[in-house]
Amino acid sequence: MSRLMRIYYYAVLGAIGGLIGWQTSNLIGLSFTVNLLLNEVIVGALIGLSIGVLIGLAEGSLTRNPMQAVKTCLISGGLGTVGGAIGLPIAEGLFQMLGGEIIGRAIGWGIFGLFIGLADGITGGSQMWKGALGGMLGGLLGGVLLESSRRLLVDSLMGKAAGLILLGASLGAFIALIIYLLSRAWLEVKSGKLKGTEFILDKFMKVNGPSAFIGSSALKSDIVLPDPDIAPQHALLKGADSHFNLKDISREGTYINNRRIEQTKLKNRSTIKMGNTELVYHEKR
Amino acid sequence: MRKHIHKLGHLGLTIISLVALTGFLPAQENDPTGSETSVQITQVDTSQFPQVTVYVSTTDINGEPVGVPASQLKLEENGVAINPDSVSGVGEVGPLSTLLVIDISGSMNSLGKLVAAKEAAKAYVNQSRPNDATGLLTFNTQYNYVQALTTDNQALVEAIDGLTAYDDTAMYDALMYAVEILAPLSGRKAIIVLTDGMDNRSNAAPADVISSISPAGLSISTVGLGDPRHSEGNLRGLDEASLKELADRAGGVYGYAENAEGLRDLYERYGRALQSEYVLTYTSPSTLRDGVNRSLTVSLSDESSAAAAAGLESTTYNPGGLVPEVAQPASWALFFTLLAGLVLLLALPAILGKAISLIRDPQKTKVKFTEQQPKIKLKN
Repeated sequence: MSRLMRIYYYAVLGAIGGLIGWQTSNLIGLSFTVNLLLNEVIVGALIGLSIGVLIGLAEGSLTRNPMQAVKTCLISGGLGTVGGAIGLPIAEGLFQMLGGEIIGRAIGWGIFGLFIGLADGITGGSQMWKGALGGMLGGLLGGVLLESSRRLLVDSLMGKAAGLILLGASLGAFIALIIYLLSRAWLEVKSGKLKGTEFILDKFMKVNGPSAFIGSSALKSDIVLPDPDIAPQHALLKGADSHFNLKDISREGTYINNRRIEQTKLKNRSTIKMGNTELVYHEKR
Repeated sequence: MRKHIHKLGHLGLTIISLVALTGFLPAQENDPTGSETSVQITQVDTSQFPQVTVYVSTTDINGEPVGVPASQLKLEENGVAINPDSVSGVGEVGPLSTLLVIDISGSMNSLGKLVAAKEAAKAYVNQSRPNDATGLLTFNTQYNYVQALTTDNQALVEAIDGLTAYDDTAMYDALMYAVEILAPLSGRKAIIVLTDGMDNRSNAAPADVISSISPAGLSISTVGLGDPRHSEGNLRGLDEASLKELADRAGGVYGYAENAEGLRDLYERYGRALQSEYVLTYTSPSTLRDGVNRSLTVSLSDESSAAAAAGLESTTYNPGGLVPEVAQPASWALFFTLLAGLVLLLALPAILGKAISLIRDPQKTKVKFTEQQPKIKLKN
């Protein structure tokens, strides 16, 4: 999976999330109770849920790990629900304060996207702010497109469809792009079933943060490599703020640049071999 | 402490305001026909949308409320004539919630201005009706919500009597807080702010105040209190232009007083005008919350002559709908067509990859084809 394809899949899955959010919001409307605030919370939650689930699916399915896909779907969907439920009422208030129109719509959608992106950024393998930035940019574009379509087509239905699909797509694409542009460290799989896949390591980088287990078990490892010659938990990747240390915890052994290691500091472009799978460690793009 | 409350509350205001969402009140466009009776939209309440409530003030050239036959008030939304569901006439407007915002900066100690302000505020309180709630918010460098909104006039008078003046002026910060206080309330809401000098300490700007009232829906009337030398051009820093603009854009009026008597008259007149407003309630012809601004025009037709409107005012409101409501959901056929298109996009790289590999290595196809043939034969 090339980096470009990662962005593509994120965008298309995000767009599908936006499309589902669009039809859901069409079906329930915005006047199902007399309390607009409550309506905004529910509609925002449902849109956030649909986009969140699909973006979570992207993260999980790109690593061909069903367990990971279900896990990220649930987490990202739940976080998207919360982000949308909080974001839409705030964005609506801002939209009103700005006097509506295209500026209000764009900024309002930007804030809505920011909240969903903030939530989804947690599971995107990067820091939250990167997801938030992606969501905001996607929302801004989606809002402009919605308002422009509404004016050109004189049809809120299709304008809204275009806007929400673009919001989801932009959210997905920007989250993937920003993860790609701003990630500090990642592992690139060079052989095996996942050839081309990249595992972003930023969230494991802090010295006091979580460590990443590399192995073949989807239940026991954070970075899952489907290779029968790799142990369920094969190696441990521990962050040290500026770099990573890799510790072998397998019987079969872990090799860096063809030398077996027990524990070592990883250097940029080190080649790691476990079982029949080869990975390359990268730092800073 | 108040500052912190204000800053936190500012974000909260936008959310709270959605509970009682009301429309925008941008710059008014008073009719330039020169008619003696002017009409002004002071507040638009859309909290019960599609039911919309419009508060209208009719005043003479001196700002005194004028009674007109309700049938003379003509209402239009987006240029379409509206037949209101109900029109409440003079004196029938519901309970008012008024926040008196008073400058207690050091300069108010000179020339008996603080005493005059106290007397004017008490005059306003004394003429309020039994169900009208009034509150007192003061400001110098800081603002202080001295008396919460109450119908207890005695408590208000005691709070007013206890005011002392010192320090600088931060009026716009105080107004932001005043809007926050009134935002969650329903019904007719008004702020009357008195100052004798230029704001020199606020973090907020006039535009912030205007923005904050957009979803809250209330009016702000302003009072400039100068000294006798005002007529000679010495305003002692009174920023009349800003006060006028703020009132114009916030559905209120601006008045200047140079002495205690003028100030008391002004407050009493504001009170009479608020109590004399007309309340027009109608159901919007477009019931969807589509987030699109709608123009609202109230005119006063002169039945004695067949001439054009005697007074006219326009404003806009927004029914809400950042993610717009639509008349009917898309057909499932359309939804699944769009979904199929996106799923196809998802599968496209794999399909293209297969196609490219087949083109590059056509032998694979032949092998697969020959491999399949025996299976077919076996079945036969």
